[in-house]
Amino acid sequence: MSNIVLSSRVRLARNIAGKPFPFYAPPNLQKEMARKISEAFKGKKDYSYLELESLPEVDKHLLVERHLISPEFAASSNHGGVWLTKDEHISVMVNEEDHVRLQALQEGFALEETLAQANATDELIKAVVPYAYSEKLGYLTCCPTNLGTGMRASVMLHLPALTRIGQITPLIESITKLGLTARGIYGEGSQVQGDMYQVSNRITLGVTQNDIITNVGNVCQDIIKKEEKARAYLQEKGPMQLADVVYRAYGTLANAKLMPIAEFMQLISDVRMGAGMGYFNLKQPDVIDKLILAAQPAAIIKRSGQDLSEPARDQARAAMINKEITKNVKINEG
Amino acid sequence: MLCQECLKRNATVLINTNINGNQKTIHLCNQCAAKLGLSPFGGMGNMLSAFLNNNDVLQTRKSLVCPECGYQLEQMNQAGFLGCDKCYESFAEQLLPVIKRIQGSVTHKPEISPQEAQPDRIEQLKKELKEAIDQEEYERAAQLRDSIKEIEKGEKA
Repeated sequence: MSNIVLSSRVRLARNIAGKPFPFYAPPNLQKEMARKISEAFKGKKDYSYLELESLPEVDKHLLVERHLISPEFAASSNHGGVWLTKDEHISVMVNEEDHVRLQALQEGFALEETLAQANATDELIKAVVPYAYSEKLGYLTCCPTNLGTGMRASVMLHLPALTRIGQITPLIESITKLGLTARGIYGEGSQVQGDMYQVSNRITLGVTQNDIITNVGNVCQDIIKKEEKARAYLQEKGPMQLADVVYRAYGTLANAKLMPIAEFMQLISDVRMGAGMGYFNLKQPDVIDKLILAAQPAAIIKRSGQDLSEPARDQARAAMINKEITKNVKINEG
Repeated sequence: MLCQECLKRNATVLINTNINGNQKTIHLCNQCAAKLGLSPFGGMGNMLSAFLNNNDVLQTRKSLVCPECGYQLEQMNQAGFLGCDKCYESFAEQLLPVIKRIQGSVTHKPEISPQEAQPDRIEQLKKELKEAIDQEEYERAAQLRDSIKEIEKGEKA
């Protein structure tokens, strides 16, 4: 089960009372609000601040790849930045769509823990700025889609078997009816890569935080069971075909000399499924997930220390993966 | 699944709409989604203007301005965003039907504080205690009895 869930996340949208929302605030006011919010982290040694304007493009993309800022924030020209804890479990975007967008992120299925972490960080900020809040509508957000709790709880799921048997589209349609959505790995509007889906609540008003995590959690439990069944079905229906898919993917990752990101995501998805089904032995349980992060474009550029072109990246990615996969992922001969 | 617009590329964007109770799911590729103003980076903002354009109440929107921040209701129609928290009061009449459509509700449900939750918790524990006794699970019953005592003691203090 833990192999199907990649991570759990809770994010809260908050704003300072009586101030224009970031996109409508003049630059000096944006700066002023960022300064006020920074008081919440004074003396908090585990937090550090990265200012958006002084951050090189590649570093912004790296933060997106690590799910610490949104793609929209990376492209934003607002004055702001992100507060991060060392373990990257907490990130607080300042002057994204809302004045405060805080998120707690953890590996595995851990919605309750992430909610508690998010609320603890919320308390820090609440102590230094008055929040925009009304009894009737709850937390007042820049876009009415976030009113009420201002909360989005999501679980990242790896669903290769359901994808293979063509059950993803009906599944997404059915969870939509339950007030949830499934998006790609970088959130709203992003592409689905490597059969990974972020399942989250759509409704934020008229429900409590606990209602949300219960609903998202229950639906995800159900999806996990469906994925387990789909994997068992594939194994039963065509054991040789399934073994061929996962070992062929492994062989390509171990030996290919040019590896575009889209192809990598598909192959690593097959290997990740195989690992969850006992086809491989892993040096550490999280080696594949770490490899996925390390193979993303900004991570490749950052590691090389050069502004690599796409073909050069594909070559560097292939070289890195050839080495790492043979070192950390072994075929289970048993 | 193929994009329903161009029927060529793979659909990567899933759009769910609910206009006047008509639910629709549309599968699009990134390019077509962008062409239709539903680009990935436009986010829910554009969805919101779709809601707004379907709302007759907003016919009067041109003249409406938030006295707090000077934001015009018409700007919201384009951006899908509000100008400041007070806009929710300034444009309440126009916004509430839109919020109702997006969220299915216009009333915030506050979190239940531990104090408020406590009586329910005791009721629940008492029910469980009765069940435990009925099923002769005395060890569990003793634990439940202690938990109830603990909470009741806390309330008095």
